Formats: sequence, structure tokens, C-alpha cells
Amino acid sequence: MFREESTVLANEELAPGFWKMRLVAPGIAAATKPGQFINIKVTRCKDPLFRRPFTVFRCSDFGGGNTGIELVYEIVGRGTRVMSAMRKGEGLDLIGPLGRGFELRHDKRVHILVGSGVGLPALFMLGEELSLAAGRRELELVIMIDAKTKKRLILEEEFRSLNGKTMISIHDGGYDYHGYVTEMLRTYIDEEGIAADCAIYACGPELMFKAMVPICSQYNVPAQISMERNMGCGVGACLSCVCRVNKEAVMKYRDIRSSHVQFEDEGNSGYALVCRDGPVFNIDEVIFDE
Amino acid sequence: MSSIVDDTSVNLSVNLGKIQLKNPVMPASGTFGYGEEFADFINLNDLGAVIVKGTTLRPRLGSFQHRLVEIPGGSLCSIGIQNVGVDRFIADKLPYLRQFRVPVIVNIAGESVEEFARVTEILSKAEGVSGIEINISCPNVKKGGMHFGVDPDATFAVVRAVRNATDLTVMPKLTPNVTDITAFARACEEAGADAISLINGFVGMSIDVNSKRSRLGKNLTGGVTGPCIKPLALRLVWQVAQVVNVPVVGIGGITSAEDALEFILAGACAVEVGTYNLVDPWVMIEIIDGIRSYLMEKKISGLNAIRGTFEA
Repeated sequence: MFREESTVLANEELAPGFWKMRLVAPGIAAATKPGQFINIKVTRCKDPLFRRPFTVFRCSDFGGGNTGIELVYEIVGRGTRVMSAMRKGEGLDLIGPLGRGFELRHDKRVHILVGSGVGLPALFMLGEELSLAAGRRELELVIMIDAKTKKRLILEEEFRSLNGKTMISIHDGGYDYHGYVTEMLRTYIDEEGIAADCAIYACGPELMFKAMVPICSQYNVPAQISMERNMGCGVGACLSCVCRVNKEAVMKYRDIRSSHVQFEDEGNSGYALVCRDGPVFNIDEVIFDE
Repeated sequence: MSSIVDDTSVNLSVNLGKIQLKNPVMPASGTFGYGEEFADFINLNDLGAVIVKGTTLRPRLGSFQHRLVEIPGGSLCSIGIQNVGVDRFIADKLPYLRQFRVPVIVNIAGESVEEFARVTEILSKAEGVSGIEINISCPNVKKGGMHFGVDPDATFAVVRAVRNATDLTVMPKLTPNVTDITAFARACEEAGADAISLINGFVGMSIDVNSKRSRLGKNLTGGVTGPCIKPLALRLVWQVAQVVNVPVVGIGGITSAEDALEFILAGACAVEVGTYNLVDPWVMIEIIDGIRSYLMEKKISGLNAIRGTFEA
């Protein structure tokens, strides 16, 4: 992680409430791995106070000698509202890349991305990596996109450009699938008979992850999920962004000495830091109802 | 981060009990982890001292999740002193800090006077600890924590017990959640404190009007910190500096050299930077450089010449 002073190259609205920002940041672009995030200081005026964390959507060569990152964000509060008002040429102070991103499951054949709303951008860099491998016929990529309404559907074109099968579910219908992405996921795994040979990577609201839990356990499919929490520092100092985790599962996946997880004295749970141990967790590590 | 810390034309050093600080800027406990988290951004040797995360006898898991909410100009948070406990601090965290020449002050918390004393005894035997900051002011711990900081007799008892348990520099950290903070400062001085730091967070809350629940989830309330509390903190530091003879360390919403200088003019010997470390991990270096520039510009040789020179 390091600090990089970046410049806004473009900032445009993709769909009502959803924006895409291009930032010239060659250092962070070169260092970021799929699922990692950056922490942006949205103002020098100390209000909004904290940096805002964003998973990197894509690292790109913008031409003209400019390389950097693209972020796709939704206006949800004061910080993102300030960001949406930024214009080309303005400076932004970044810290990154931060956190632990996705780990590719090389042992599986079918790789399913499951993204909902503003969680979708967090999956794109991984999608690009998987797409390259799919192009070499090393694996199959399936992309499942979820949106509440057709108006809130974003990044369809970008995901469709990857070497994969794209399926879209809209809660109120009008597209491939009428309903929730998790129902589409269950049907797909079942009908394709791929349970033994697939891996899921997901980003979306916690309710979506909760709905995935019984599917993953029924079919015994591994899933990595990118969690969201309010963050203070993003570097593991303030201990604000904790997430309740299952001890047994954490011990299965992690070297506990190099993690920031702290367990309770008795019992089978503890707290992990979303900023350092995450944002990507294995779905069975997370305890959703504290 | 480049710094002009080696410039020796002005003297930024101050004494805090037995500890000599090369400059008056330290991180506030809980906003700097164990130092290692900031190593990519600053050289710890450039700081006046390092104050580490609140440490208890046994490990603590702390508050429930959903611990932080941003408020206008500040933060409302409840961490609940999550920490690895004193034994793991000494075994796993302290060796890293011993690589540096910077004094290490350990913030301690406890649920009983005996626990405070016991943690102090253990830390006193550890190599590389220079001072103890006594947290009698945590707004987010039910048992202990602020309980000891809102009753002058309890404050006296804890500080005296820690004092008796160590020769290290002892510095109680006061809560602002009292009617007359000077009574608590006096109790600390009478009990043998070498210095007094203030303030910890103000107890506050925030309600989500849609869910009708606390934005801090099951934690309900939290500590208000950050730039929005600076005027409140400054006034309390000024009050305390007038009634005690021991050095006073100012804490509360400091984000710049100008903020730090306000506290020094109000009578603080040194300052702790808290919430803003989480925003700019290098801010303390900028503050040290800014204080030096101020002194150089005004042709002042050292901090002693300006401390408490606020003209009331």
C-alpha cells in the first residue's frame, strides 16, 4: 500500500445514481489485484472526514501515456455525492491497493461470478482474468448479474464483452430471468449438473450472500464473497470494520498468525478485519447474523 | 514522506515525566494500532512517542460489529477496546517496536483497580516500555472504562495503584463526560501522575430514522471524536493546564500544526493526534514539520517559550 496523487480523467453517470470515474494512477494500476480496494480522500476540507473505500473496477491504459484505474460507484451518501461533482483535471489523494482480493480456484472448471447492483464492479478485474483463461479453453466463465429494476442494470456491455456466458436477472422481470440472482444460480447449478466442478465469486448486499449460504452448502460449492463495512483507516489500525467469523472455517483457510482475526476465549467465533483479512472472505467463514 | 525533522535550529523536545520526547507529537491510542500498520507511510523514529492500542490483562473482542459512523466533521465509534491482551502484546507486538528508538507508551484499561495494577506490573518488566497511559475514559466499555473516570475517588484509586506498581511515567487519560474536569485532573496529580492527557471521546449516538435503530447497531452509543470536538477539547485542556503542575497532553480533533499549536498555547506540553491518523497516516509528520516552521518563522527557539502563552 502506498499513497498516490491522482488526477480525474473522466467522471460520468452510467445510469441514474451510478457513476464511473477514471483516475490517472499508474502506480496503483500496476499493483492492484482483482478484488482489492483503494481508499479515496474525497475532499481536502475534512468533511466528509474519512476516506471512502472502493474496489477497483478495472485497470486501464487510457491512451496518451495515461494509465490508471476506473471506479464504478453509486451515490449513497455525502462522500459519493462529493465525488460525483468532480470534474476532469481535479486531483484526488489515493491510498492503495488495500486488502485481500479473490483467489482463483484453479481446481475448478466452471467459474461463476455473481454480482448485484454496485457490487458488480468488484468482480470485473477477476472477470477479465477468467476471460483470458476461458479464451484459452482452460475454464468456463459464467456471469450472473442481478438488478432490482432494468433501470438499475449497469455494466452489461462490459461483462458481455468477456469470454463467458452472461445471464441477467431483474427482480421485477423484463429480462433473462424474473427474480433474484440466487434463484437463478441454484437453477443453473442444478440443471447443468456442475456442482462438483464449479466455484462462485460474489459481490452484492449481505442479503444476497445469506441467500447463497444454503445453496453453497447444499451443493458443496465453494464461494468467495466481497464484504462491505464502514471503514475508518483501511489499514488495520482502527478495528472499525470487523466482521463476525467462524473459527473452524477461518482455521481451515488461513494462517492465523499472519491474519488480523481475533477469536473469543470460549466459543467458535471471532472478528476479522474487512480491510485486512478481507474484503474477500470464503462464504463459510462469515457469520451473517450476529 | 520527506521531513525536516533533522533540522536542529529549533528545539522541539519536551519532557513527559521521565520520558524525553524529541518532539511533542504522538498518536492517540487506538488510532495507530501497534505502529506497524503505519510503517509504509512514516518512520516511527520521527514521532515524539508511540502510544499503542488500549491493552487489558486478558484479550478482549470488543464491541459488536457496525462500530463506526461518520458524522459531520467527525466520527462516532465504539470499538470497545478490542485487543490481544498484555501477554500477546509483549510477545507479538512489542518486539517490532523495539527496533525503533522511539519511546513506547502503553495505554492500559481494566475492570478493577487490581487489574490496572497487574497490567502495569507486567508491562514494567517488559523491555521497551517507557510509559503507561491509564485509560479511565473509554466511553464504550460497560465494566471499567469510563466508570473510573467519572468519580474522582475512583480516579484517585486507579492512578495511585498504577503509580505504586511502576517507576515508569504514568499518565492518566481523562474523559470529558464529567461536570468539572479539573477535579479529576487534581485527583490524578495528588495520586502521583507524572502527566495528564485529555480528552477521550464524548459519549454520543446516531439514529437511523428508517430502521429506528442506532447506526452503531447493538452498541447503541459511541465516542464522538475528530475535528468537530476540537473546540470542546481545547477549552478543557486550557482549564486543566491552569490547575495542575504536571505536563498536560492535549487530545481532540487535531489535524494540523495550527491545531496542535492552539493546544500548546492553551498550556499543553504535547499533543496526541487521533482520528486524523486514520485519514492521512502521515499527518503527524506534517504536524511536526509545521510546528517547526512556525517556530522558525517567529524566531522562537523552543516550545517552552510558547507553552501556555495564550492571552486570556
